[in-house]
Amino acid sequence: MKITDEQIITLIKNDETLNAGFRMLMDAYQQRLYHHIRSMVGNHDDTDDVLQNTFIKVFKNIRNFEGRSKLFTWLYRIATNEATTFLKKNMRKNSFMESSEMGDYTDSIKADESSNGEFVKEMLKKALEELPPKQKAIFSLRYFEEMNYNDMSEVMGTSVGALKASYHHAVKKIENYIKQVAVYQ
Amino acid sequence: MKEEIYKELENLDSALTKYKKDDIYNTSGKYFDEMQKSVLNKLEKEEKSSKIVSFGINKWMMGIAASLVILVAAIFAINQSSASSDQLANNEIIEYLSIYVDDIDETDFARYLTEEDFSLAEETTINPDDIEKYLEENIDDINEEDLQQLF
Repeated sequence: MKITDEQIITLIKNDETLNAGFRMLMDAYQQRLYHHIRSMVGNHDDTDDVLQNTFIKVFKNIRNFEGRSKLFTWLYRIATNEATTFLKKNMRKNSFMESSEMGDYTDSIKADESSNGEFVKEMLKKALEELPPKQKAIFSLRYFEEMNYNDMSEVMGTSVGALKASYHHAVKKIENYIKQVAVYQ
Repeated sequence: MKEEIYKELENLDSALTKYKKDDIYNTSGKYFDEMQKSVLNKLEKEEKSSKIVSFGINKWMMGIAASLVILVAAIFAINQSSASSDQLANNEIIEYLSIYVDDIDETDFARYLTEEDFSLAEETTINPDDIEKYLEENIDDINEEDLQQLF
């Protein structure tokens, strides 16, 4: 039987079941949050750091969670903020690749092209890296997490209209990136 | 893919509708076990260090409390001794002052004078010759500003 968010919160708010409840919360959300953070941050090691910091923040603040928003949007908000802060601290120049770099990259894709699925995955990963932090978060929430715009609005603290515009823009950027890679092939 | 998400991409004429959306970031199950352990260890360490800090504060506060007790006791003792000083004989006070007169600061001494003492001092007439003599002897030590205040 799947445990509900309300049951997790009830366990966490009781001193005797706090640790068990927190473990259940991690079990329930670790994969989704990992995926969301990874799509923003890029590599596994950084994702691991950000995910751990996210859960530590969650643990420290969950007793103050009043249930005015949904638990999962609250968790995604913390994860998104942590990942955005991390990206801003480690801001790297993510302008479009120089043509020489693009050549190296397409070679690596060709090597992996034996399976079309792997090729698409690699293209998506690389395309995501080109997006600014907030757009990465929006694309990840909508495309990978399949979140509705109202929940996304709670996570991002941005209006639904602005989120739609940003998501559509992100989709176009990714399309362009994929087309660009296809031209080089 | 949810229909809502698919239709939106279709409306955008996006090729993303054609791709099978797998979990693009694979991780082993062991990773999450290790991650959970690491999070719980960090929290445990933080809890321990916060206990040490709070214990430190308690000791510190106990130190302040002890100091306050000593201070109150000292004030009580001083009050007791000043109460007994009321009972000192005049000759004992005079004897003490004659020995330590050079160590006594005039301003400190003035604090112990009553209004009556001051009015007596004002009434005391000083011989003008004595003043002249004093000024001649101490002219180098007299500050101009002090003189202006006098006149």
